[in-house]
Amino acid sequence: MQEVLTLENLHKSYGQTHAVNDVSLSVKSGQVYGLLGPNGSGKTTTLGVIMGLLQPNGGYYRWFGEPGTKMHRRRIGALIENPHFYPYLSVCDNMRIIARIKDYTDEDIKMALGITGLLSRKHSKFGHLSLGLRQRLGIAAALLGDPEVLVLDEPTNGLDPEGFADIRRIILEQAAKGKTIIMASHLLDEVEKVCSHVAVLKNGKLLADGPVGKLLTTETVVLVDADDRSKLKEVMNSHPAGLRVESHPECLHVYLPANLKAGDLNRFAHEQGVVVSQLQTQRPTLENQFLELIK
Amino acid sequence: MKKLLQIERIKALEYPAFKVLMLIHFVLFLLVFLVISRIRFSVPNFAISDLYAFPLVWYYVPWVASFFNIFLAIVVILITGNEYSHGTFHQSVMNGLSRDDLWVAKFGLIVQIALYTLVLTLATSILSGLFSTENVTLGMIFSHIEVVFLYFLQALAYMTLGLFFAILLKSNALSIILFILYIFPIEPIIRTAVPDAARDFFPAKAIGLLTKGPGHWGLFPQAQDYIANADGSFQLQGLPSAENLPSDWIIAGVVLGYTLLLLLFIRLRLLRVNLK
Repeated sequence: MQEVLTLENLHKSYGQTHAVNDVSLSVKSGQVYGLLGPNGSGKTTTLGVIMGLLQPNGGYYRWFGEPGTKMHRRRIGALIENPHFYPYLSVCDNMRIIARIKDYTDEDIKMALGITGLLSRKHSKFGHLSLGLRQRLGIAAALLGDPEVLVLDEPTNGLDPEGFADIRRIILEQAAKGKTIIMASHLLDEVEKVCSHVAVLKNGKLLADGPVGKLLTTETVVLVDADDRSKLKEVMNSHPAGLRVESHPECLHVYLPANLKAGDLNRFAHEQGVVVSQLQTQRPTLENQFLELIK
Repeated sequence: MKKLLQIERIKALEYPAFKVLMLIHFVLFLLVFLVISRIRFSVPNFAISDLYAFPLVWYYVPWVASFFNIFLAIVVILITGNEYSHGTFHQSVMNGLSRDDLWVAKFGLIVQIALYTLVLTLATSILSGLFSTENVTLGMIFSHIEVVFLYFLQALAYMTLGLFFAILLKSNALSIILFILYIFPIEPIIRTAVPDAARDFFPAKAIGLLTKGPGHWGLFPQAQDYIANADGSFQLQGLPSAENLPSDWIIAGVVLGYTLLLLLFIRLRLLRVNLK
């Protein structure tokens, strides 16, 4: 797969603060890459550096295998922090300025405004738009000209539930079209639902990165009990998948890999001659896993 | 380049403050130009109407226009400061402009505004000269036309100085106040500390000298050249003594040098600045 973005020992500091500290990662074509981390972990700074807004103090980044230039940025649709536009210009004129920079046509503008549902507001001044509509215009500007790479910084920030769902749908549609998306978020749920790969940042440092499925394990916990708990435990331990079993005062906790379901466990116990009296699936909260990661 | 100029034009022409300020500039310039003709005072061998005829009109109109250069510089500061405060430098770079494109575009805007005032000044001078001069010859029309081009350089230099403050300070209010304070009184105070010969080479002083006031049009004798007669009347003695100023072309070279230096500072600053 083609390398889209590579960071090599990237470093950016403001005075004493190391906003991005020695981060190396690589994003390949077609990946939906999430940068996950709490506020102030260096996600926005990382995106700012790769989009040419901030000058790194050390390390480097490559777009499509080359040092980043304005010509690369024209191939990328980006929204970093808040949408920034001229408040006295209309939605359409603001888009026209970006289209002029990137060499796109009025037809492309119409398409991007259509996707984000802004066509009916194209003559409104940016300064008169609500927060949610401003965010949509930011997304529209990023989608202008159907770029192969999208860089989005907390794209659902500050949106109401409807806008939230809309923007997430747009991102998923873009991902389905095979686009490479690099997205910063502090919402674990968002990353899990949207991203294929994730890098976890804290205090500017890269803690972990890899496919979402591997990094944010989706092991489910099943609470099981039977009249004869010790027999049940024996049976569970004898499961061919080699399950992890923990004894708790009220029941047993059995950790299931993604390919097994609680029903499978029940069937297995039954085959071994144990009747299960309680069976309850518990999803591990992602927040817990995340907190575990950033500890 | 063409692209950058087009973008700057969209941004400026749709900006209400720009439109209003340029309209005020135009109206005030014409008003001042016309109102001075109503002033009554008498100097031997001179009538106010001479100012509107060739060749004096070539001194008079650029001098009136030069009052408004600071105004144009403030317009440039506003437009540039807005790019920081609206975060649109950020947006432009993210979408594919280079840091160099940012200052080239702004200098392109400055050149366009300067060309506009050049055309305004040229047209006003020529029309006024044609209407007010008797027996016009082609030679009369074009003699001293160079003053207008010195004025053009002055407009460029003032606006570049304004751009410098805006890029350096990132804030409209701060830039405008410091820009004005620099011209008066900060630089004049510094000038008092240096030898006379060096004073004319300070940036604001040199820029100002490109359009000289009526005292330098070889028209009014200096006060000391009047000798009081015994009967209380005044008499003109000899030729007016010109103040010991460097030649226009030396001043123009100095101002051009300052303009290039300012652009260099602007560029270095923009290459390094973090656009959040």
